[in-house]
Amino acid sequence: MHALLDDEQEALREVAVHLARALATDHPSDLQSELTAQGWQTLVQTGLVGLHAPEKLGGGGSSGVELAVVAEQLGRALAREPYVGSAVLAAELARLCGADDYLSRLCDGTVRATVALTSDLGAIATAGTPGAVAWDCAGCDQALLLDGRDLLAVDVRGELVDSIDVTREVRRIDTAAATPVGGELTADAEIRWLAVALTGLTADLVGVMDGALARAVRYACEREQFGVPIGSFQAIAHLCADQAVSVSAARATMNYAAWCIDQCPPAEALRAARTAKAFAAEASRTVCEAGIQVHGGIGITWECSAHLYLRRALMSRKVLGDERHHLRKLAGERGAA
Amino acid sequence: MDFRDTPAEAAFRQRLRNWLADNIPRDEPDTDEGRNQFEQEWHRTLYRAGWLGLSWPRSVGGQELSPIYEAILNDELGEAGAPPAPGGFLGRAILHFGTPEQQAAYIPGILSGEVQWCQGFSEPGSGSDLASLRTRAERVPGGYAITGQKLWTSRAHWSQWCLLLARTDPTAKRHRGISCFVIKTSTPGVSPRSITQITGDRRFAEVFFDGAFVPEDQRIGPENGGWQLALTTLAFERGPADIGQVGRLRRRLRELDALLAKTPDDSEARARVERCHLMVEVLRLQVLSSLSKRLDSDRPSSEGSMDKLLMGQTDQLLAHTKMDLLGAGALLGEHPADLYEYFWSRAATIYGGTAQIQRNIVAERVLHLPPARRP
Repeated sequence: MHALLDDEQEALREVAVHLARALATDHPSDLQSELTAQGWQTLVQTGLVGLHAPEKLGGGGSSGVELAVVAEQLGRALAREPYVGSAVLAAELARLCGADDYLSRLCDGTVRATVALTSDLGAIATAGTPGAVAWDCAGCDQALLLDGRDLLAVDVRGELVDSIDVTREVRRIDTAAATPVGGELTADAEIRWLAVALTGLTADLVGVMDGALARAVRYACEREQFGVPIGSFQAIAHLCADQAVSVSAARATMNYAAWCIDQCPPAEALRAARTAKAFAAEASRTVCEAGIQVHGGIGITWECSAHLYLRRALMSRKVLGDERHHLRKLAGERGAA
Repeated sequence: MDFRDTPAEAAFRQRLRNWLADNIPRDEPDTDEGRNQFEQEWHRTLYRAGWLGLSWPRSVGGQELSPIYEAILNDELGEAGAPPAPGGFLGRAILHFGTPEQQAAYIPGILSGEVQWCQGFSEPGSGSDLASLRTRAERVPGGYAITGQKLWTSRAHWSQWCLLLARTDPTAKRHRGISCFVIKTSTPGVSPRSITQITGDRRFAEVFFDGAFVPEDQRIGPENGGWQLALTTLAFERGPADIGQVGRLRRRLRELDALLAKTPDDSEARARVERCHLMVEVLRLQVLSSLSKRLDSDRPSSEGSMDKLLMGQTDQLLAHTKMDLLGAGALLGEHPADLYEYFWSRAATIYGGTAQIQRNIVAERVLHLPPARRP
């Protein structure tokens, strides 16, 4: 048993940390600049977009663990590139539907696609769903959805939604305009997809809360009141320590879900993913809110980055179900077992 | 990353399961002294069957295996509902700081369970602030005379030996003047007294020292070098044994499931029990992750404090949920074991360093926040 990254996975993490630094949203003012295509091209060229796709389709042939490693670091940096939407949710959907051509075009960057979600953000959209949105769609040409078990794609042209998460884009789409891509999602594959999708969202949440905590800790070391750094007060230190426990536990739980993707039967992979998402969903809101609290008055201003983490966490928390949803599902599945 | 057992680990686990199926002791006595004897007997049984000392050096009766086997042992004991395996962390202190003669004299008895030991660290005036301890060891011909009082010395009244911290240099600053000794509890001038806990039993004790003589060769480590030993001992309290705690929590989940089955339509109860399942699984994975870190280095790290915090919270969550599901019956004497479990869960955020001290450790040594101002 070894519950941590091995040496190769650790090396990938280093690469992801380095890349994420270049793509980071350090300050709210960074969001005023247009997102260029260059960042995504870098992710494509370094093979991070097709990480979990088979090598024969131009992918990396890596495991779910690697996918989570990268998603976590991009979340931590508040990167605007649609990694979870495209490289995790859409690429995995194409892979599991057997849409090989489409997947290879995602891997080589000739098409950038995300997924379409229902208006409550709780599930992948199906043809005819009213109010569907393309989620995490910055720079995306298309959004994938389902018609029964058939895979469809629709162009992403609709108006921008005024989403709480200012680091990622959401657009309205017209599912009636969707056309078949070729490929279908079997019942087992649907469970597999959900397991990967929830793990990817969890990885984003783990990264976001880790980033929020790191900023809070940095601030607590710098900001002085009563002549000393505020981090020397136990009221602040203990608040931060509690958040550190949450981040550590969320990452440990995410790691197991990520490992299960390729090593466990679909039902166990989904159980692990629901567990990870439920815990991270709940913890991330608390951690990011604590991040604001530690910053005091500055934390309530737009120019402080603390709210960017909270906004992103609230979104990833909701997409494909928050903790209440997954706890109910886990209870139901336990009852049925 | 691989959460599976290696073939060797799987074989060990299977052998252990087979052995446990025939050897778990039943009919735990309901007096606390009876329970202590029962646990000591279990300790000796485990040792005789070759399940203890797994990661210890061969020179002191160990098997020099990876600590992962200790984790598997604790995991299986917890799952099977067996009494826990002894932690042996006092032996670790002697292993790291004792002379070869001291190791040979004391460790085999600790590992085998033939000799029962207790830990004389805390005092009435020194709980979280251990370095303020005042029990003193004064030089006398051939050794030292110990005078003072120890508190929370679990099972001291049943133990034959005590690992003790005492002040050897009253002029030195706090932690610099402390030394470590081992002393027989039957030594004249040593008087253990049991303390009744909120659970109603008497596993805690206080120990009074009134000039008790301890020979020079029973000092462990250098004079005034006891503080490092204390830190090492405390760090070893976290580790593979925590996995066993998770196993015991998982058994309690099954009890909660059984209670829930009696009220299938209570959706609030269902949600609360599901949250217990979630937290135990999160704790399991956090502990496995820390264990892996521990296996990658040779000593426990401060991150064990995060496990301790999460474990205390989870233990208390389960205890609250159980009490609420049981309702008034728990208050009217119908469920003594559950009541015991509840009261004991309050200790989970106090023993081995309070939750507040654990947060200090996480803040300073994991997050590297500036140290809190202390007098």
